[in-house]
Amino acid sequence: MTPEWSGSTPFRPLSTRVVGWVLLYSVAFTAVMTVALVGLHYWDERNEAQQQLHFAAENYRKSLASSLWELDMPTVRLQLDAIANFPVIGQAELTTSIGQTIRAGRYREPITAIRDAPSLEVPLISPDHPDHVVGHLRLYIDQSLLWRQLESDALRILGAEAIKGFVFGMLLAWLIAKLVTRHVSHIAQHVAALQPASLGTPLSLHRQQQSHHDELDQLTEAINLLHRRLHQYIATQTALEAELREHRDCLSEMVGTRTASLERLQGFHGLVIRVLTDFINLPRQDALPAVDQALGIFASYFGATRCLLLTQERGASGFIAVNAWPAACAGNASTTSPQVLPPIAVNAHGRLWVSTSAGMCHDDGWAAFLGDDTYTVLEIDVKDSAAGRLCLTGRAIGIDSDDARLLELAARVVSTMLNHQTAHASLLHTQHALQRVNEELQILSRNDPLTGLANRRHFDDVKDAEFRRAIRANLPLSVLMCDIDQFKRYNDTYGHAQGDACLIAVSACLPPLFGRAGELMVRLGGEEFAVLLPNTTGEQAALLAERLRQAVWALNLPHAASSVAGRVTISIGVASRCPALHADFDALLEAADRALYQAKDRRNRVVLA
Amino acid sequence: MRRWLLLCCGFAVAIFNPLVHAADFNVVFINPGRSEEPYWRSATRFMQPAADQLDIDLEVLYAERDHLKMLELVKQVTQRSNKPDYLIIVNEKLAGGEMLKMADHAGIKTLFAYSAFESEQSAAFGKPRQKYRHWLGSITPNSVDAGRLTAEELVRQALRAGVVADDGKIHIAAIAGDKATPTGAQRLQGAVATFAAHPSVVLEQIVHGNWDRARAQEQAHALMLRYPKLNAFWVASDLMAYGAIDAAQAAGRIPGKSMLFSAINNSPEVLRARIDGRIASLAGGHFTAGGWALVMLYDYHHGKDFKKFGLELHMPLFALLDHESAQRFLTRFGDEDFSSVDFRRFSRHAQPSLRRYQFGLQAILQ
Repeated sequence: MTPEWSGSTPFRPLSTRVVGWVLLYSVAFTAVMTVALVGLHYWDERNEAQQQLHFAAENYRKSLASSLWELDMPTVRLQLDAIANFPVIGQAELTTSIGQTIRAGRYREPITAIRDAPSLEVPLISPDHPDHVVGHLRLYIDQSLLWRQLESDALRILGAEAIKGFVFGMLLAWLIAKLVTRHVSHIAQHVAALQPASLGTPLSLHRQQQSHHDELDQLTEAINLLHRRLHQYIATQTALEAELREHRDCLSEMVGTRTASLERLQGFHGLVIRVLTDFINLPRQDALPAVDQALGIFASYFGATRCLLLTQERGASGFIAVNAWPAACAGNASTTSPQVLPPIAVNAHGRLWVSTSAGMCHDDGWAAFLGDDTYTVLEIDVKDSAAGRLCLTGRAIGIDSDDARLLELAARVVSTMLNHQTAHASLLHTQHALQRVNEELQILSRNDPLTGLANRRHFDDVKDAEFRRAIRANLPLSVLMCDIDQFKRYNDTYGHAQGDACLIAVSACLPPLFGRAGELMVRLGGEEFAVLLPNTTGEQAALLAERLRQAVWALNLPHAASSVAGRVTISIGVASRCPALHADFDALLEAADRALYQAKDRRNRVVLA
Repeated sequence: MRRWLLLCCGFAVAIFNPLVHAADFNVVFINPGRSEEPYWRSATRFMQPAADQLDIDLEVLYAERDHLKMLELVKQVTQRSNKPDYLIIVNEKLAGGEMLKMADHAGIKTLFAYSAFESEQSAAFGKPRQKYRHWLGSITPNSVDAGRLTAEELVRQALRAGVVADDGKIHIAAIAGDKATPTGAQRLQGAVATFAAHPSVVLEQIVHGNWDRARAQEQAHALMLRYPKLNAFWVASDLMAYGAIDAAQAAGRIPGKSMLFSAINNSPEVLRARIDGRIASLAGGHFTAGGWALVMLYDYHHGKDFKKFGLELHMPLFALLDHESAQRFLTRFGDEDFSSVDFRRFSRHAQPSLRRYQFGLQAILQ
């Protein structure tokens, strides 16, 4: 009936143990209850007995006192006997005031046990003389009766509790057997019968359908869940075993393939290292041939018919084939129009586009461009931007294959090469730019930014050299000092922006007049200009100055606030070098300044010093 | 006719059996006491010579102090085929009423002796010869006399012997009979009245000895302890007096010297005690009531009805027995043989000159 238990311990049903424990506890409980109840009963009995003592004493007190007073001793004895006949009274003792002691009850003689018993003593007072105590009545409880009652109580309680405990225990055992152990045994049998080969049917309890579910149902469900999982597990296991068997058969083949793959990988690594080593310290002019050579190595490694490196043309949406292997192809397909190739074909596979003759890739533009249906295109990062494409024709590499990873590596190598190349180009470009900027800077440092004429600093750098050259060569040197008349008023009238425009317009009149080598036009500051005229005499300079004044007049720039005319005019002071008068250029310039001061008297005129 | 027939029968018996006295009429006396009890024995002894002298067939049935047995005896007598002419009963323990009913129902003429109905019973039973036609009447000793006589004598003796307490008064305790029997109560009544009238007497307490010697002894013992000044015991009977004397002696008191006793009865023992001084005061004579009852029935039977003296005769049967009279009584009736008493002398039928009954102890002692 019960499932075999592998252990050496004997089988003991759960119900037996539960009953055993219940009986044990009920015995203990019974004992405790009995003691407690017996204790309570004892106190009740004792109190009851005390009350009866009081009752008896109070009942007989007067009559006894009366009889005793009248010395009616037979009556006294009768009454004492009657008192002693109370079941609880063990002994009634009457001590008269004249020293007599009369006892009645089950114990005629004073017994120690009786003496220790609870007692009650009442004085008996003469009916005729209230102050005369004729005796004392002392009643003792029959302790042995109490004990006997206690015994019978204890037995009764013990019996009742024992029966209760026994019945309760049996009921519990029956309930446990009916509700639990029967089903547990059934479950045990079911579980014991389970074999990995034959899991059999799911477990179900032999009991009526219930509206609720309990622990047994939970256990059953858990076992059934385990059953199902076991089922699944065994099915999976079987499949795996079959697969394993299959794998085992082709294991050696796989090992061979794998070894070949590893060897190939190793070869590729060597190849990459070689390519990179070649590239290090390569002069710039040898870079492109080196890239071509590398592409050739990759093409031969991957078994492709052609290998092209496309880079995105700056500012265009198409690609240009910078390098190619065989090198002949590079020239043929050197440029592609943007219409032929889309810039980036976004593909779920990321950076790799593969097309086989079966037409895996849907981008026909590439096929047309490469001239082959079967190709592999890989995106190449150059400085983190998708700047290039590595194309292999005549070879389709699987996206997840080892070759794809190797191709990726090759792409990085190519990317590095391209970067290298780009870095070179960039460096050259930068050098050109720097040179140009330097020139501009030089111009900026010598010229006034507003008018484009030389500035005061440049003038200061040049003036003394020109002066010394004029002294050495004994050549004439003239200088013009020009000032726009009432320019302050112009500014006030038309604003500074218009003022600046006026300055630009006036300064623009200078270059056409002073184009000879060595002639220097300077904006000294504000509306003041100077012109250094080497190898020019004073008369020639004055003539030129007059032409300048007229050119400004001809500009016809309106100047409403001018007191000279309704237009912008200038005054010019001219000075020419005179060895006697001018020790240095500043002296010459001072002379020109003085001439300008004279010119300013009437304005719009030229004064020669 | 019937009388003639009875006469013939009696005559025939007399002829054929000379040993059997041919009685005039027959009387059954239901004796409440025991046959060996001194008082009731002396009562019977006193009745017997009277019956003999007056030609009365007396049958005495002892109830052995059991009033239920008295009733039983009366019942038996009433059920007899040969019923007695008269029945003498005692209202002992107030059982007279039932006995009277039965006797009256049986048609037996009944006379109460020694004790008659109490007041409550009288109210229920009425007067003799009225509701109960066969109830002839009663003859009872004046028990109050007995109490008074003995009490007076006790005080006299105490004063004479100087047996008084340190307060100069005689402290007396009374041991009465029982509360039920009228005689006892009456005796006590006489004594109490006497003591109350005497200024030098302190009546400490009254107890009821129930005519029992041992009980009286116990009570006397207790009373002496309860009242240390006690000088005397008034005791309602001789037996109880003996008990009291025993108790006093046990307590170291000397009867007649340091403790005085009174008693009521006339048994030889008590007479001797009176003579030797242990009993200081003694009254007796009431035992004679039965004998006087026979005399009355004799007279009634012979047409001398006592109706004119009253149907319920309350006679001064008691007499104080002093040393001398006690001695005389003892000498004359010491053996309880009262045959020397001439009962016919007290009969109005036998002595037609007798104006009235002169029953009493004094009369027979003279």
